[in-house]
Amino acid sequence: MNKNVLEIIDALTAHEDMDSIRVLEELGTNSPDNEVREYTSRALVRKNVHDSLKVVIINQGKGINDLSPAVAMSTINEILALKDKSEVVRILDDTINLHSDESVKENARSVKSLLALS
Amino acid sequence: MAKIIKVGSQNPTFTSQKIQKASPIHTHRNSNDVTNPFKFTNFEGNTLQFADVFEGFKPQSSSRLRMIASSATGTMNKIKSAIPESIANFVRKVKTGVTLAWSHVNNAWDYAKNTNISDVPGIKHTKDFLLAERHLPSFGISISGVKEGISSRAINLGHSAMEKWNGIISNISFHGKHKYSNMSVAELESHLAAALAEGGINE
Repeated sequence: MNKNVLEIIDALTAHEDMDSIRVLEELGTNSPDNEVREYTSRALVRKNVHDSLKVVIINQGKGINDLSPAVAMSTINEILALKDKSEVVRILDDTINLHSDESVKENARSVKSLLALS
Repeated sequence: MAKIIKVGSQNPTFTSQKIQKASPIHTHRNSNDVTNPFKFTNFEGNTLQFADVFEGFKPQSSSRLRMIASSATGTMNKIKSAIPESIANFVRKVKTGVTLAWSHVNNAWDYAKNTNISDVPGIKHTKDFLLAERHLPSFGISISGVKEGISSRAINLGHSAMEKWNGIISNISFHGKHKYSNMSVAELESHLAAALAEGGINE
């Protein structure tokens, strides 16, 4: 196990500089490695700010819309585990109402339903 | 050529008394009744010395017990299959949808989303059973009270399960203190790029 990758992602997650979200998105969520994408998506959810949550909810092929079920499910689990869900609910609502891609809207709708059930 | 002679006429010891004794109609047994059919059979004057294998066989008492036990087991099985199986099916349906493939997740979600917790088959039946009019007088409470109680219990169950799940997730240690914790984002970016080039999380 390459601990360096995990520790760098953790450090970026804890970093207050919002530029850390850009780094996580560019290097982490675009990685061809499923595990890196999964870990990065979870890290972005844990940051629980508008910009980081946006990455994993509205982007096709990232976070909850990832083609790998493992990545998508891990991201959803992390969203469900958030203590403060107000921001994520707001983004999900916006995605459901305003997003142009039907599959992204549908996934957002499903996650919102799960949040309502939890 | 040998003469065929009647057995009774040649053997003087084989009297009518003996025949009477061997007859199943007139056979008289003593007070210590034995179930071994060979015990009274006489082969050339020797009683067979085998143990009475049927001794101690008491079919009446055990069969009654068995009947009661089987009826009780049957009832238990009926109860078991009536309630938890349908809940298990509901869970399995969602679980299968989630685990099969991402494309199926939406279906499972839709199923979960559109199914009220009180309408899950097992719970629904339990609720119907509790709400049946014939049981209400003995409870001494109103229908709305029972409904409310069931709904609140279901919600509490969901909330407590969620809290436990969140507790498990939050207990997973999140390491933030290591050599990278004091670096700038630019430094972290270059380190991450280098680490990923080495081969991702798995070396």
